[in-house]
Amino acid sequence: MLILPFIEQTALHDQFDFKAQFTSTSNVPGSATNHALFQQANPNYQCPSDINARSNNNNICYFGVQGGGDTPNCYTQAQRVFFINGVLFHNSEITFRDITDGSSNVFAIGETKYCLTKGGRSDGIVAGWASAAKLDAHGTPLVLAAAMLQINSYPYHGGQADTLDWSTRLFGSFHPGGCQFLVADGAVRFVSDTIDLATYRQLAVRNDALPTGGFAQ
Amino acid sequence: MNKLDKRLLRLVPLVGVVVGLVLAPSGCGQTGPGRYVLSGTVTYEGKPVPVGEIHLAPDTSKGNSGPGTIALIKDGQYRTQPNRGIVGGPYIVTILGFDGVPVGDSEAGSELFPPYRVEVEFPKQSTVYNFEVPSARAQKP
Repeated sequence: MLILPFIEQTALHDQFDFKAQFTSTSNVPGSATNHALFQQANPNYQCPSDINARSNNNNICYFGVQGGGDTPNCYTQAQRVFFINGVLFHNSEITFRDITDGSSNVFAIGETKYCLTKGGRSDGIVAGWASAAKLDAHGTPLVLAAAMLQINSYPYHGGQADTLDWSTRLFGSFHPGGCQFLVADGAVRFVSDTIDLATYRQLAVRNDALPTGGFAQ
Repeated sequence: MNKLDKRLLRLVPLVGVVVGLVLAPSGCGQTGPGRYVLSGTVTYEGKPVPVGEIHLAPDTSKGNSGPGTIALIKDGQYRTQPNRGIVGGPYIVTILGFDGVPVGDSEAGSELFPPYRVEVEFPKQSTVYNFEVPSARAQKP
């Protein structure tokens, strides 16, 4: 939401009430103003290849990379995970000098097909591009994921299955064979879903001095 | 056939080259390393695990490498997904098991046991492997 002014959506940014509560999932609504905006589609956050990316749907195809590895810093219910070793996580204030692996070797944003959206659950609960973290006994990040499980390894997308227990743990897309990542230096790289898992996890961590070879050229 | 049609026809091989150039670097058609189907059963305290996940990560500490994969457990049975099998060799296997009774907004339900980690060496061929998760009380804290 805070980057809206930088992608020519200042008008939309200014409609949000940043002093009021934000919606997390549709069953945990924020203020009336913020919830109404949550329900709107934002085409800037939708990839045309995603079958859930429709003008009447509020889904998002890009999640911040909260970190990587095989063990999260903490998790709730059925593995809704929180990592803090990446570039974007809750209350993170990571600057370029904190990315000691080098901004060319660390993921910042990745593609996802796992945002819970219309069709995913029989009770109609959805997340969206303007979701804030859900902070209850079943809490979860909603626009963040970690490089924990292999790209595309969960076989169902957010429009056909309940992805609330999955969306924080992996990235994925409808592009054949992998998904795109925005690297912290601004480059966009297509990463194959057959990438070596250990290397992939290291690329999501900002300060582990790994992988030793950097991003494979 | 008029002149324009002939000129268009001459472009056909060029279009083929362009399509090939676009597709080649994107990895279309690549199968990556050999992948083998892994399947079997998962039990906990002698009973099938109703809902769960198996995370399969090549064990780099033992020199293995390659893509990881997951298998979903349903009623005690699991099977890797098509074209997303294992590469064989030493693996770190993490098993999550849930009771399948929805709680809050989670359909998987509550954890039956803390994530269970075990090291397994798989053969480089399709394999049936049955996991028995030891009782949480017997596991080291």
